[in-house]
Amino acid sequence: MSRTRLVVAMTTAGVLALGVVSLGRPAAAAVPLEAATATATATVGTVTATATSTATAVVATGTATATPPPPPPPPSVATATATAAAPTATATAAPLGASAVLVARANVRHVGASALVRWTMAYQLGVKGFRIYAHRRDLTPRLIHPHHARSYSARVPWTNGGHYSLHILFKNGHTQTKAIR
Amino acid sequence: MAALGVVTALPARSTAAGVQPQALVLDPFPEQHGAGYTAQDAVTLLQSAGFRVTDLEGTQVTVPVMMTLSHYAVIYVFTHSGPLPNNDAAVATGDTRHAMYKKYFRTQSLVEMHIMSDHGFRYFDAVTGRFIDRYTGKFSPHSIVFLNACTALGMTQFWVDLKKAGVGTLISWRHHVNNTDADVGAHEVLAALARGESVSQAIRQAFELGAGISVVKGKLGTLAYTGDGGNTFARATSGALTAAR
Repeated sequence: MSRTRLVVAMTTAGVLALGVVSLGRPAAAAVPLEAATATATATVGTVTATATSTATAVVATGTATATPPPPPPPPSVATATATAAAPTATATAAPLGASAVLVARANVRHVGASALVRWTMAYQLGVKGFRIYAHRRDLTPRLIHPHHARSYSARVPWTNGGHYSLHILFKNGHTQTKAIR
Repeated sequence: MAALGVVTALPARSTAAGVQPQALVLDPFPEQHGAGYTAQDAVTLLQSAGFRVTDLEGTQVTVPVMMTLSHYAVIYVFTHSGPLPNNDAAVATGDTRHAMYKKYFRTQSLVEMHIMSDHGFRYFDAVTGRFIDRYTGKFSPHSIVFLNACTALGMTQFWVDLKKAGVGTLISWRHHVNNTDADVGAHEVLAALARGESVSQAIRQAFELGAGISVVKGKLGTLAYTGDGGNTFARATSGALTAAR
């Protein structure tokens, strides 16, 4: 499985834009894939593009071919030809991922020489425990284990101007950090 | 559900023989497609395969709508998703109401996700696999869920919950995907499925065309599936019609 994927990644890294052009879509789709080598922008309607390779796409057959980058670069130019009109747009590739909110609220209160750190979890399934840090210093002698109620508090030394971070350790080995002040 | 003020235009599960199989297209962030793409591409491809398609966008994609997922043989969702500590996945809706869903937040079936939208950063409700297992009802045999969003395929608990709810095949991404690669991959896979190919064939063909991969922050994401790779639109349709009888 991983071998197949590697082949795909290696052989198609420069071709995805062509596949897109062949569908009558803007070649701007190539931006994220080529981010490692160059930033590519294209407008299919006027069929101009800048990239690291020269490209030709044929809409009717849905096939695409690519030739290697022209030697030596003055700034490389890619030319795409498409036989169908396509929408013109500027691409902004954005990941379709976001983090779920695990901590509903958290605050810290200065109490004499100590700080009272309090937090409430919005979601704690799979959480192994918590630690409180000031910079890189772990202020919790033992892992704070999750319990059924979702509100927690811990008394730690007052330090770092009251700036702390809550480290949430997951059972799957990952960690998420939330700043508290 | 009525207490939640559900969108009333949603069709109930098909109950009569000969009724067109139904597909659902959910697009809570329509402004975030790759350049030149909209959810209409998925709608058209599903219609060409014979489905009656319900297409909901933006704020129409509410939590109550997510409770009706099992009414459809094929579900396509273009959205944001993220991992949860227990290897479940959070799948964003277009719903920003929270107080009325307290019950679901309390059971950790719903979570909030902080997402950039047309109106700036907002907290959107996101369903989990636990929500789908508990509140959407039983899916018809061989139903196909295409979740076009980040990382959902690596989340083992998410699939366990979907499978428990009766989902036949989940198509989604391992690791991250950007919007344009997601749109391109979906087009290729849905087009192949509409031609009668199986899920595994459709994904293989997408790879051959250079789709189904995405590099985000130097890490390669791939489109893949879990569950029945031999599943087809025809099988999903016959499963839905069998369940309706």
